[in-house]
Amino acid sequence: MKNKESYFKQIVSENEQRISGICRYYSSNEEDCQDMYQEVLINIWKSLDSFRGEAQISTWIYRVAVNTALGFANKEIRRQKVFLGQNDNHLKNLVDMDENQKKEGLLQVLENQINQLSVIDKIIMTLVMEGVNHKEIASVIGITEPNVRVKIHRIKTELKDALKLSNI
Amino acid sequence: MLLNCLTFKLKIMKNIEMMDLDTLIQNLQSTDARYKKTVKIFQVVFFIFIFFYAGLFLVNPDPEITINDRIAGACYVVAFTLFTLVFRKYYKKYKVINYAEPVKKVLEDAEKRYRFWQKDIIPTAIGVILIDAATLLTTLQRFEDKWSFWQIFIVVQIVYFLAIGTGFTIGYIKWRVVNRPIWLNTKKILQEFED
Repeated sequence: MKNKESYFKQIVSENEQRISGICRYYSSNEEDCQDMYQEVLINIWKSLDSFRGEAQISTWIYRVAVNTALGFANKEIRRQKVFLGQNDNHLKNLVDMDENQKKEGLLQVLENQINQLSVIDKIIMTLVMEGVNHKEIASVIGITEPNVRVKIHRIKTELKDALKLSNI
Repeated sequence: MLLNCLTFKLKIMKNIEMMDLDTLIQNLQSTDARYKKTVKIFQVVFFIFIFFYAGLFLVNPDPEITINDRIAGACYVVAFTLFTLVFRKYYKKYKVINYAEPVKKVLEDAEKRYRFWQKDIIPTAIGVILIDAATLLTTLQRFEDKWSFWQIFIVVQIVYFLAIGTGFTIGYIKWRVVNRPIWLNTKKILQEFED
């Protein structure tokens, strides 16, 4: 048990940014984010015994975080809505833009567009914004890498079109 | 707006760093211990039931125990054994959800877990029928002087299935309110994978 405890602490401290990154996308406020962060930690603890090192630890963490965010153990379906407000630094992973383009309306348009996507596509886009590579995204979601590439290309095109239409 | 977002982000990070991991671990460990204890208590209770009925109706050398009693006892023992196994599996399945599986796999498992009709229904139904048969056998002996077989049969069935039906209805309502929305949502997302 002592080993599990120290391993847990190590994993959490090494992946704090990843966990909080995902939590922020699915939380509309600080309190929700805290709750979700704690829920992810609980699920990491519960799943730790099953970790055999077959996947990268980052992939493993993302899986736990995303699955928790989807809230299939409870009724938190509302968490399937994505909030970009807190993640403006990662928007460059989503659309090509320069500093001058960081207008107030940009976030809103992107957030609206992303929330019109399917749940799976939303998850993919949050992982893209976190800078996760295609191979890892495929492993987190459980679909093939080419499938991920196609989806990302399609979604990015749609987002660009939406931005053009909004004159941003 | 961007400044507000940044402030919010920093605030979250500060609070997350402040989260007391040791307290969380302590809570998690006590939850684990409580879970193990609950499973153990449950198993002990059912084992007591199984051994009690086996001792009373099957092993008991009392000559007054008729063949009907012994058959009823065997039915109870098999039924309680089935319930024990089903409950153990069910409890384990609900408590130990592996969140480290790919999203698609977790969804597929959730879809199966939240269905109303589970595979476990077969051993449960067998258990229910066995208890019905055992109750009928023991009741027959007590009232055979006063009532006919069919009268006893009908009364036992009405009372028994009224009780089972009430439990089933409560379970169904609970599933409809709590689990069905999650099940439908899971199915919808899995459909997105297909699309």
